Amino acid sequence: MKRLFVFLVLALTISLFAQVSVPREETVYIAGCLWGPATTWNLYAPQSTWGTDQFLYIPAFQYDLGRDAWIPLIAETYEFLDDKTLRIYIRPEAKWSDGEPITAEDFVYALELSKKLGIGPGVGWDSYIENVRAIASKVVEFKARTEPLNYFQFLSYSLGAQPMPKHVYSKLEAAGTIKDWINDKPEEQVVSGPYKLYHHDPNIVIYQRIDNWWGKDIFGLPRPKYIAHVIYKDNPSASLAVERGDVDWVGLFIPSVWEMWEKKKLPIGTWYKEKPYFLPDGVGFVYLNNTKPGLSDPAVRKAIAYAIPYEEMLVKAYFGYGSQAHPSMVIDLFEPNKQYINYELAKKAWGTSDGRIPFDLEKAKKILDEAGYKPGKDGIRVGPDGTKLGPYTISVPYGWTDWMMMCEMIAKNLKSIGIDVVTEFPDFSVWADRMTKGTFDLIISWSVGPSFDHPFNIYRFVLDKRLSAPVGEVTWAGDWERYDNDEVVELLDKAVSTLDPEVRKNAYFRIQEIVYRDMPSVPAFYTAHWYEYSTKYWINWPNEENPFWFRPAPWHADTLPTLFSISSKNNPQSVPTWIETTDKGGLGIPTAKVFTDLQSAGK
Amino acid sequence: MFSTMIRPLFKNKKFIIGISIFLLFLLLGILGPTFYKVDPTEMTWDYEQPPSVEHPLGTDTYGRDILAQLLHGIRSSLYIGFLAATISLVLGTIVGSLSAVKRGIVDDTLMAMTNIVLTTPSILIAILIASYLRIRSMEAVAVILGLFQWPWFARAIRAQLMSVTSREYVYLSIMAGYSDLRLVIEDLLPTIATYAFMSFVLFINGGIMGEAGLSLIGLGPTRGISLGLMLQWAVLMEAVRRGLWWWFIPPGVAIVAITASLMVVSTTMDEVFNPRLREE
Amino acid sequence: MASKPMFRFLLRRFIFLLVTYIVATTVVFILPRAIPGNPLAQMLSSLSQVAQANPEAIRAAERTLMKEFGVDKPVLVQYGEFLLKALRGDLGTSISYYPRKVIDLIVPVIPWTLILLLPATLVAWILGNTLGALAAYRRNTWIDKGVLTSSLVVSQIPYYWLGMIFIFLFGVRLGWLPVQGAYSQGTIPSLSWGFFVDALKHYVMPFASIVISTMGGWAIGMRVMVVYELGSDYALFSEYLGMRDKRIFKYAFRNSLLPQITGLALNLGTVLGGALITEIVFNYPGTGFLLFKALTTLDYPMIQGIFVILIASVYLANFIVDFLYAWIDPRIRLGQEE
Repeated sequence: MKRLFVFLVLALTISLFAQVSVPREETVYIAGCLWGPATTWNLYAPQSTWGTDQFLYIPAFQYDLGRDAWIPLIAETYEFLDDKTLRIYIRPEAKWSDGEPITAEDFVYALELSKKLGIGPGVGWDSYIENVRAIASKVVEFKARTEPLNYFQFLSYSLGAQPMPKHVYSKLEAAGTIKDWINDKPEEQVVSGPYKLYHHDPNIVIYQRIDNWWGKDIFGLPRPKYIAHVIYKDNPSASLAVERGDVDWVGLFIPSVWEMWEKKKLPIGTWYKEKPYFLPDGVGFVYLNNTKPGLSDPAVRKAIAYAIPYEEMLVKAYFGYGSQAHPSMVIDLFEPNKQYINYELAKKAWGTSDGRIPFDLEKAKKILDEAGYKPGKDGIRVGPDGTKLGPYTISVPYGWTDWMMMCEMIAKNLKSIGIDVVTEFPDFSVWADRMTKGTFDLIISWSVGPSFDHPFNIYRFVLDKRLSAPVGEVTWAGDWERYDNDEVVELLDKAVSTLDPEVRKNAYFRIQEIVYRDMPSVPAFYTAHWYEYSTKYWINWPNEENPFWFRPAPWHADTLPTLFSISSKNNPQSVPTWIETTDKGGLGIPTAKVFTDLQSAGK
Repeated sequence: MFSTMIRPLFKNKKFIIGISIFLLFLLLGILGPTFYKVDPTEMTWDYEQPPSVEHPLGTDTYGRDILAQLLHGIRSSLYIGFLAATISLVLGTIVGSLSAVKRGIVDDTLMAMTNIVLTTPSILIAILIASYLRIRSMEAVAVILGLFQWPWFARAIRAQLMSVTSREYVYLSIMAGYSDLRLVIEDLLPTIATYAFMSFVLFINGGIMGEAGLSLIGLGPTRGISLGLMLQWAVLMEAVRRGLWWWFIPPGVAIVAITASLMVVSTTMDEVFNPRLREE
Repeated sequence: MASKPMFRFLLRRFIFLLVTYIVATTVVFILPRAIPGNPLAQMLSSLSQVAQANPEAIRAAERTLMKEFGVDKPVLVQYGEFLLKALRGDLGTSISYYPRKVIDLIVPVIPWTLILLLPATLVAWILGNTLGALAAYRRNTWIDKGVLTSSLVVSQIPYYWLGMIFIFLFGVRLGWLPVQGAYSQGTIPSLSWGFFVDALKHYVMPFASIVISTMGGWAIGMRVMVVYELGSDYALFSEYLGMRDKRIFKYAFRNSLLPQITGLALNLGTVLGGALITEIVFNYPGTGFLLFKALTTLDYPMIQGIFVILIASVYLANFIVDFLYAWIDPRIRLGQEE
């Protein structure tokens, strides 16, 4: 008893003494990325602590979504030997934080370890890359697999590769302790990025800038000396802290965010000053289970697509933070993506000017009538073969208030066209179980977001039956609605194994035709890229008027350049030029250029 | 005999106040939703509005009417309370009377069990069970709560019955060859009826407060609206720190009014019926 | 001081508590296994959502995790391992904070809960009993009526709701006290005077809401008990003998304290549960906060771990109360129990 008491007093004393203070003016306070105690600063884990992937271990090339370009960070340049072989040349300056040079061996080791452990940076690379070799101490070679050949995955795995310090990990590997390693001792951390851990306890995680970071002569230093994430209990308590000016950089869902500056006159901003306030981050789907009687009929699915009140739903349930998704599934809010949409086709298919699906109950009813679904006595339609349209459930996890409200609205409208749908809000795990096992009727859920291989990534996620599993078996990888179409699979493979932009585009156009015909599930709205900032202590945040970085949310894996560009209020500095593409004097190499190089190397 | 029992109660001012408040809330719960026909789950664009003519108690973050929620909440909370209390009462009576009548090994086992449940931090176990149930109906919550309230009641019943069974008329019944069951029902239960009634009242309180506690940490019913769920939503949306008083005050007032009035009823009954407490 | 009968009493209690603890931990162990489900869902979903991971990466993680947390041994063996490990202080690995050990996550938050809970419970118990006794002593005066009525109402206020009212009144409306946390963000937690004052400001409201809402129950109990005692034969007899009221009251008070001590032991679990919820309302960084996190992410090893510790501490506290009881009660001390 006495010992326990002494122990507890000791534990408390230590936790008190171990606290630290950081100067407010030199610290960027963050909210929205961490909701509980830190896990690990070791990337060979399913979930590393926020910051590890963002600031501690940086990749060879950093993808720039806004300019569709690749900024060489650890790498200096690349070279294609032929259209299957890529060499990356590492910067001679590149060093680990302990002074050891970053070498080709570190790249090879990092990937081989991920393969061996089945978890870690770049895991899954071996499906698309034949082998990775160290050619010289600063030259790595990646050879693409030809079966299957997927240029997108090949490039994103190789250009985006993160080296890990072999001299640290090989010791752990020998001891067999990699998976248990927390890497929580600041003095022992060996990182490639410009920050390392400074302090952590159950209330806060703080990173400190490495002032003699190897890249400072090339990139400069990130502006904040410290970045600190206070661990809030939940969303509302974090947004309260934002309101009080305790937080500078935020990635949160905040109800009626505009009130912060319009009504309360706070120095807070989001990407857009007006609706939709946030950049898009992905496509929210109404998934329709293709294996359920009734829902297996494309006519029914199409009728459902017409009966979703997109506009009202987004305004009422989502505070207008998103807009209706394009039925092609392509996120057309980013200029480079528009080339992948066959607008003519969409216009013809849906009858609207930009090809978005109109909310039209009459049309929905007409489709059902034509398909032979007649309303029964209770108003619920019954098909020619006796299939009754309902009762179905539409569900999202309990407490996901915005989506719950959407479900209510969808159910109401579907009932009005004679499809019996009731809402159900079970616990998260029940919902996830139904979703991944394919036992749901209708659900609202996420898909994937804008990225280097968009729209391939979304077509694959939603339509590729190879990612699916039989009903009753869990799959997290994709195709939750169990859509089964071999032609789509072929088209997907064609799109990524060609270097001809026209062939790729035509494959996507054909997929769009199929999607409009089958309507496997309904792309309903763009989810928001939660990002808010306060100009109380830090200024020059990326936004609509100052759009130097398009993934500015603190939680996003590609957010690092944001920190090189904001400035302290007392010391305004400009955005560094290296963030631009090469034609504007920067370092970013456009993806188009990468593909041209690849193509010409093949000839 | 019944009227002589009841009459002194209605001379007690505290009892009258207590029972009136309770009946008022009971009526609100039963009839309220029928008269105030606003759908408590209907989300509207009037979000976080303070009380107005249109929404007498204002609205929450999703524009749902607080008054409608409150009336439905009172109904469900009372339902859960009653159900939990019934379960506790039945369990307690069974265990207590079995123990008292059977004695011996049955008594020993049952009492050991009772003591274990009594010592176990029941709210913790309730939290634990609730966290493993993914879909929780109102009934499930009531059962979880009812499972842990009975032990001290069982012990009291046993003690009461033990002292009663040593009295003469029970001996007579036993000699007359009555079965155990008949013995319990005919001779023993009436003697503990008052006591049971007072316990029942406290069990209702336990059920209502327990539901609120479970709901607040996100383990309340997964469907419907209860007073606890209203509080949970208010906490989730930081209604308190954002000063939306019309959201979190009414459900709390309802809980306190119901439980406190029942508590007053029970205490005054104790004072009236218990000779050792009766005021001269 | 420790007589033989007292020792025997304590030994019996100890064995009883041990058995009860084993039963309780068994329940803690069996529950997650009795109800099927996929505890990894939360983690995989956040991988799928936030990381925007490649299907390959998700698949690989899925396989690795299944193996990591998969249960391939017979339940009895698992149970044995669970108990053995728990005894050694190893409560397993958290799922949502993988690969952190559950015990490493729990230990830093326990002091905060203790600092809040212990003083609040004791102060409430002492204040409540004093008030209750006072009311009984001044039976039927305005003091009695005031204490009784206010206790009846106050004892029915859930702590957390009282906490909300406090936050709203003193934090939001009047701005006197901070509305959340155990100390301000940005202050330098250290053993300095400044930090102490800051922490104290954060402490007042959660402390007060626990004290006030538990006090009433003790007051009511104590009042009834003393009234019983004052009406008992020995008190009446003493009165006939001409003993002074104060003296009689003193005896009555002392006799009534014993059941209140037992009551304290029996109520600890409830008090603890309430305190956990109070922590959540105040965003107080204690065990309740961690439990809340674990519950919302379905981190079963963590939930189990927290419960194993919480239940153990309730029993430990129970035992301490038993010890006090044995020490105070002459019947046990002198071996005349039952």
